Parts: sequence; structure tokens; C-alpha cells
Amino acid sequence: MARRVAISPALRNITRYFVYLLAIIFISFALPRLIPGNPLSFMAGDYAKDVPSSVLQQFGAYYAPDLPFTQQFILYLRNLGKLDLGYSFYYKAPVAERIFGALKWTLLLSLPGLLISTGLAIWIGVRMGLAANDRGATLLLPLLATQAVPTFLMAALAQVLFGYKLRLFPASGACTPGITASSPGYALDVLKHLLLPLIVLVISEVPSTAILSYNSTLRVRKEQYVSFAKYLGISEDDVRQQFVIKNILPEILGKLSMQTILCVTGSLFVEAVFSYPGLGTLLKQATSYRDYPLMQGILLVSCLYGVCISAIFESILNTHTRTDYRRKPNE
Amino acid sequence: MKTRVLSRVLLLVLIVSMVLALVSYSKVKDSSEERVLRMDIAGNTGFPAMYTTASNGPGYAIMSYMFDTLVWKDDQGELNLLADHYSVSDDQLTYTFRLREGVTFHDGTPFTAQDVKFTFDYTALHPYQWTATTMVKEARVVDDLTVEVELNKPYVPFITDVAGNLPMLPEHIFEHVADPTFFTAKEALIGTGPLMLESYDPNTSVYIFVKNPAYHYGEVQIDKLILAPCSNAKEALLAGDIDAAAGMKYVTAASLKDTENMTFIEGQSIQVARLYLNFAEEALAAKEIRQAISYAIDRQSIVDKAVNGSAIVGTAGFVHPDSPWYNPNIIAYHYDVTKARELMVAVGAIDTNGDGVAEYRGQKLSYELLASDKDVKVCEMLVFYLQAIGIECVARVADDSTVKGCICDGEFDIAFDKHGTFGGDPKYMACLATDTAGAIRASVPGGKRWQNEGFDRLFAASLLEQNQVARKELIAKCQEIVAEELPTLAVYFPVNAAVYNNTVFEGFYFTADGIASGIPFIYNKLCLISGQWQGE
Repeated sequence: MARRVAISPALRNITRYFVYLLAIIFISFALPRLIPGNPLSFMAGDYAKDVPSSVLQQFGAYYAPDLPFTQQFILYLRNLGKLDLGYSFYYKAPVAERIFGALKWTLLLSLPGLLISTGLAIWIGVRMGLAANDRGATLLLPLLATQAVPTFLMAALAQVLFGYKLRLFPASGACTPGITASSPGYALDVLKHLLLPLIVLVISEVPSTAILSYNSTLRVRKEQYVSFAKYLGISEDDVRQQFVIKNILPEILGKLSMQTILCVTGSLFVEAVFSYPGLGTLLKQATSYRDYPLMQGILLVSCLYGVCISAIFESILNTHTRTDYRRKPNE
Repeated sequence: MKTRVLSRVLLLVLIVSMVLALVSYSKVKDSSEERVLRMDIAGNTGFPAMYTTASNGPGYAIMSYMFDTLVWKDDQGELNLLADHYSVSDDQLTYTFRLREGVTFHDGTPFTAQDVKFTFDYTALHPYQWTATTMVKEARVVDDLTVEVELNKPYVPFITDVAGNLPMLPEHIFEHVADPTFFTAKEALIGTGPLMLESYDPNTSVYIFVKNPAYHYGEVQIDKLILAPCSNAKEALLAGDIDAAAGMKYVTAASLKDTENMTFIEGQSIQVARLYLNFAEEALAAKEIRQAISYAIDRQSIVDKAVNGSAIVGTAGFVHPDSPWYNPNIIAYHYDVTKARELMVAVGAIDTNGDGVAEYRGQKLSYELLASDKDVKVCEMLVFYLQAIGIECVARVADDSTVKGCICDGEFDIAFDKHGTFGGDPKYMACLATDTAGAIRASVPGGKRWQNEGFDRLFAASLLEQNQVARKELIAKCQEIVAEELPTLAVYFPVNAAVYNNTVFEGFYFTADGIASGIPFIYNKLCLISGQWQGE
């Protein structure tokens, strides 16, 4: 009995993720095909007259638009099996190459953004929650106000003010045009270009997590073990560390998992304003030029990333929450 | 305790990096004497070789920095570029080009008549999307610097459409290339143009060009040209991050008119904003109803209110009023709701059941008006104007590509959209003819279209007419038919604008009739030769 209980969740999880995977592949296959408008008509823009024949052939070989839907899907699966994401018509380059080129910039921007904002938000939220006489609530208003400002607006304001007017930071791009990875000072240059978008991203992400940790802290501080710890004379730092933060962590992790998933395409607005060459910008370009292969590729990669992240977080949460205190009374 | 330490470390890192940025950014500015010109570009335009560059205006313009054509245009009009001069045989079938002497490709190989012949042969095998060369029967080398191009039948726009559009390829490189659409090696960029590509980063969309010191048409006035995307061109220009802004909105550009050191220039956009009508709808196929629609729309108000004056009111004949081909004697269709209503009543489109919507042969005049999300204001005004004469429209707004796609596939009732290549030789009127050869794809709606034998005949004759005066007459008659029949309604002709910093570089201009096939930007490569560097 006990063994069956132990195995089946794992099996169930694997089946579940397998279904997710299939669904993702199917969606990434179907979605671009559902958008109205023939992709070939966009390859010829405002001035061009015809689509080059070799592009048509390439398109036909990969998409076989004349085949029935099911056969197209089988062809798509077969190509995926070969790790062939297709060829971007707009960039005239393999899709995988374009995606990973952009992904590195996106992750460079969003991962540090996430780490800093989460750290900062927990710090603020817990402090607010533990402050005596509910003084923490006074910070709630500014936080809500910050959250209410749309990210793109904040980005545009920051760009004009700090980038163009005060000249504190480079205003756009990921590095000074012309600098390459081998030039001296490249890392510093990239860092300088990163700062302003990063700060905007952090500011836009802090409020929601901070408010969440504030609320969670309020709840936890009413628990008897917190009061008791105080009576025992345990230092305030340790109370915060061992009794509060650890207990609000599951909720924060839940939020964090969603935000980590958003890391891939969620910084779209910030990227757009700062002309940051990330995945969001790439997706925008791919969509506006109906670059099917690229759109499919981005969709697939970002969804797979999302599934992986949620799997990781799920396992973290499971190992941390399930074990001790809930089961013990039954056993 | 740990969180406190951690947070302090984080804070410290943040502060240090901010200070770092402050200190080092201030000295980034180029102190060398290199003449570096920086311009904006609207995103990525692909690998800038002849067959791989993006199918949009900037895509062609950037490619043309490296590749020359036989003839070209500047702000005054046509000029010979790789050709020293050319002549046309009396039967209009053979064009003889005498090439400029001493022209070399970027790798030092001389440019000869053989390369011209090769380019025509090559584009016959690998169609070039910017211009068809199917009318060319044969290109023959006469001597090293003379080449004859014989056509199957006379094609009057040959010079503007083909010779002024087709980049000359180096035979010694492309003879080995079986599929140029995927040829993205460094050699794919070797041409005879004034600039050479130093680097292209597909991630950041930054293009860096260096000058070709041996350019045949004159000394290039800059050492380096950097094109990078810029989301806020106005601020970037004011801050000195870029020296010229090509892709600015008209209204934004106009706001810099009186700014010190900034020069504001205006030019034709070679674009038309027009209404497409689906002729599968019985009512829209009725000429009188189309005329009524034309009377019902106050174009001047649309220009004033919806696009802030950055356009010229549309003409009924489908030719820009500034064009030498324009016929001023066509019907003007001044805003007149009474007249529009009369026309509706005369043809039997009357609101019989009092719901505010007219019926025509038992069918309610209720349609979807398809428009791009960039044109919402225009769309709203159009809905209002059509409502006034009993035509009910529900706006359907989508992104630009979807709108263009739906128009091309004929999936619309009434659509409003803009497209380019509306200028220069009136061959673009082919989009109204039954045989649409020569018209760009975006200008031809799918589904049931207007067809008119008289127009077809006149237009076909205009493509063969060698005498300019006679040809002009034919085009004038074409306009009369279009104005009477109204197969499409030109709502307005947008105007383009650009701003540049005149303390860095002076001498940008809008090309007469647009670069090559009508590209309305200040990217003309000859600006870089005729202009003057102003910086120290």
C-alpha cells in the first residue's frame, strides 16, 4: 500500500509533463498556422514583387503547406527529432542560432533582475511585516503606486531622464555599436548598457513580491511559535531568518516560479524601449514579418523552458513542504 | 543576520556599478578624428546582400550602400552611376550602356561589361525580387566597357525600373553560387558601392560600414557609418547619440523644426493610403455607390485630424498631384454629403425600414471595415462618414501584416491600408489593371476586383508608347477612367520627414521619386558623397 502511494505520484508527474510537452509541441505547430494571412505574401514587402523561388522551395520542404494537417504535424515532429527548428526566412539563418543569440541577452537581463528584485522584495516585505505598530503599512502606498506604473512607461521615462538628459547611462542597445566580444572593455561596456534596463526591471518587479511577502509575514507573525520565540529571547535577526522567512518561503517560491518563467519573454517592454536585443524583441520582429519558423521556434523554446522551470520549482516545493509536519500526525 | 549581509552586499554592488557607469560613460565619446556618422534604422533588415536583405525599403537602401546600379537617382532626378552614358535604339528594343572607366569591386577586381552581362543572365536564373528581368532577351558584351541589352518587346520603364534598380554583381564571386538566397558569406557583400560592410550583428541589428576609398563616383565624405535601432530617435538625436534620424514620425520630426543645429527636411513618402473595396459585394460593385462614398468622405479633415497634417489629400485618378503624370482635369469629389445621398437614392440604395442603414437590392449595406491598428483614427472617421450616407461599417482592426494578408487574400469588405511604390513611372497603376504584372503584391487585393476593358487597353498601350507626350496623354486618360469608376479611393498621400544634426553632416536629401523603386528615406548613398562633413 505504502509503496504504491510512493510510486504513483512520480509516475503521474511524468505522464503529466509528457502531456504538457505534447500540448506545447502541438500548439507551437498549430498557432502560426491559425493566424490569418498567408505568410508568403509578407515575404514580399512594400517594394518587392515576388518571393524568391528558392525560399519557396525551402518553405515547401519544411512546411509542406499543401499536405493534410496531420501529415504536416508528423513532418514537424520528425524535424524536431532532428533538432531542426527550421530556417528563418527573414534573417536567412537557422532558427536555433537566432533564438540562442537572443536568449543570452534576455537571460543576462532578466535573471539578475529576478534575483535582485526577489531578494530586495523579501527584505522589504519582511521588514514591513515585522515593523511594530503596523508602521510597515505606510510603505504599502508607494509600493502600490510603483506597481501601477506600466513598465514601458517607467522604462521610457528612465531612458529619457537618465539616458538622454542626464547622460548617466547609455540610453539604448546592449553594447556600444562596433564593440565586439574580443575588444577590450567589452564586459564593462555590456554592464553599463545593462544597468538602466536592469534597474527598471527590478523596480517594476519588486512591488508585487514585496507586497506578497508583507502579507505572508503578517500572517506568520501571528503564529504562536513566533511570539514564543520572542519570549524565549531569540534575537530579532534569528526570528526573521528562522521563523519568518523560512515559513513564507513556499509562497514566495510559488511566485518566483511564475516570474522565472516570465524571464524569457516577460521583459519584452523593457527590451523594446531600450532596443535590447533579447527574445522579446526577436519575437516582435518575427511576428510582424510572419516569420513562421522563428515564431514556432521561440514559442517552443520558451514553453519548454517554462515547463522545465515549473518542474524544478515543483520538486523543490514538494521536498520542502510535504515531508515533516503534515504527515507526522497520521503515522 | 545573513539577509542583512546579503542585502548590503547587493546594495554595494549596485552602487559601485552605478558609479562605474557614471565615471566611464562620460569618456566613451569618440575622441579620434575618424568621421563617424550614426543613423537610426527600423530594426533588423537582414543580412545586407543582394538576395538576402529584407524585402522592405531600408533593406534595399542598406544593400545599395555596397552595390551600384547602372543608373541611379539623387534629389534632382536620374543620373548615370555605373553607366557613363547609354543610348536606346529606335525600335526601343536595344539599350547600349557605355560603362564608367576604372571602376573596381571592393576586392580590387575591375568591373567590366562581362559583369553586367553576368548579372542579367544570373537574374534570369535566380529571379530578383526587386525587379523582374523577364523582358530581357539577351545581354551582349560589345567590348570591355560596352554592353548591349536586348528586350523581347519594348518596355518603356526599363531604365527606371530595371537599370535603376538592379545591382551589378561580381561575376568572379557569384558564378560559383548556386543558391544566392542562402549565400551569407563575406564575399556576398562585394560590390562597387561607396561603403563596405565592416560588421553586422543579427542580435543587436547594428550595421557598421566603412568607406570605399576607391569609389568611382567621388570621394566618400565619411569614414564610417553606423546604423543601429533606436526606439526614441528624437531624444537620441538631441543627446548626440545619433546624427540623423531617418525613421521619425512626421509629427515628432516637425517638433524639432526650430531646434538649434537640427535641420528638418520633408519629402514625398511615395505612399498612398487608400480604400479597397471588395467587388464581390453587389453594392460596392455599383459605380454610383462608390462615387457616393467618395463624396461622403472629407479627406481634408482626415488629413488634418487623423494624421496631423502629415499628408496631402488624395486624388481620384490614383496619381500624386506633384507627379508630372498627374491629370488636373479629373473629377475632384469635394466633400458633399447631399450629393452623396442623392447618388445613393438615384441608384436605389435607400433605407426602407428606418434603421439608419440603407438597403441595395434587398441587401443591407452593412460591412466590416478592415484597418491596421496604426490607423485607428482614420478608421473611426471613415466609419462616421460612411454612416452619414447609410452605410454601416464595423471597424475590424488588426496588426499591419494581418491587414495586408487579408487584403491580398480577398478576405475583406472594405479595407483601409497604405502601401509604397506609389510614384515615379506610372507603371504602378498596373495594380488596377486586369494584368497586374509590374505591380507590387501589397497593392493588389485578392478576390473579385474591378475590371475595365477600356482601362486595360489604355494602360497596356502606355507601357509600349515610346513618345513621352503621347504616353502622358494615355496616362491622363487612364486617370479619367479611374476617377469616374473609382476602383479604389486614394484617401491621402503621406508626407515623410527626417531630421539631422547639421553640425555633424550637411547635405541629406529625399530622393526624387524615392531611392530605386521608390524608397522614401534619406538613406541615399550619394548623400554621403555630395554632402559635407561638418564635425571637427
